[in-house]
Amino acid sequence: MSYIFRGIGNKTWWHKDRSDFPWLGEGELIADIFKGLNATHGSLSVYAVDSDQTYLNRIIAALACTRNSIQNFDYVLVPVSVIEENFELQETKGNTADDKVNEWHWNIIHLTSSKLNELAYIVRDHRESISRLPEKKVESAVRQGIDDQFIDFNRIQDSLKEKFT
Amino acid sequence: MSEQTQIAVLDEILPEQSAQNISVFVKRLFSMAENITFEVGMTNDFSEALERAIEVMGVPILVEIKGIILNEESSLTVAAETMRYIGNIESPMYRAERRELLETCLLNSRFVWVRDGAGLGLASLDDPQSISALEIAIAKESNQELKEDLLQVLEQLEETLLEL
Repeated sequence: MSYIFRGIGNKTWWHKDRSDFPWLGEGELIADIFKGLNATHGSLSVYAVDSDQTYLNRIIAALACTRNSIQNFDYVLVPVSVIEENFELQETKGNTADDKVNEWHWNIIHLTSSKLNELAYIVRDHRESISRLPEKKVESAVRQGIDDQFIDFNRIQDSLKEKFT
Repeated sequence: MSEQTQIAVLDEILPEQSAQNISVFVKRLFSMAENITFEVGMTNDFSEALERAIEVMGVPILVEIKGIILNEESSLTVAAETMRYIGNIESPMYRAERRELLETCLLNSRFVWVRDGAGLGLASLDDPQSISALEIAIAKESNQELKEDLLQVLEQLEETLLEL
């Protein structure tokens, strides 16, 4: 089974435990989750991941290089069949410093606010597939990508260049 | 919060670093942070001002921050992000004191978001001296999802210890 990969901001936003926010109803999600599902022009950027998730860390490394500070990376994997059943997908070249990763990029398109909400509840229903790659492993994956020349050093954020020189 | 605003706030406080001024400064900084949109992996005016303030004011500001967080005088988002940024500062300045702050908040905050931020901060610091605090935190953690994340941090620090 192949997956759709999406960074989700902070995985604590998706916790089942609602003790920090007792006003949340059973099964409800705190609105903060939409900070991690920030659609633009009705599209949400995602990546296709093969069933054995071989290149998962490569995707995360490429995305980490679009940020200005290395931190943990929280993400979800949802079966591609679930996304295809409920949303429109469009293959579009990504914009990271790793050209191969850019080929695995898709957009979920024609998203209305209600469709985005539907997506949020699908992610919630795949909560067991929400994971965190720790900062140290993100850093290691980026270093590997640069050493292997998958990541074009000249295209990473300036603030990261000094760290990885 | 523009860079000019941060500098103006800092300049106002720096000439006289009384405990009262530091308290006023931190409260103003945290209040300004309420308007920041935090993004994982992105520094911002708040994180830069916080780092500079720690550099200039040292331990007293860390004590003040700990008090504000444990007395629940800031929003959960700002408290959690503060934990994360305090651990993520690359400079070795006040490293032991920053570690102590993060461990104390991990062990004593009643909020999952703050404990998670403290765990992320400790993972950033990557200091095996936090192993015992993490073991205690994991043993008493009631949130299963956070417990798993803290176990991941513990595993990382144990690996770091072996590498030393």
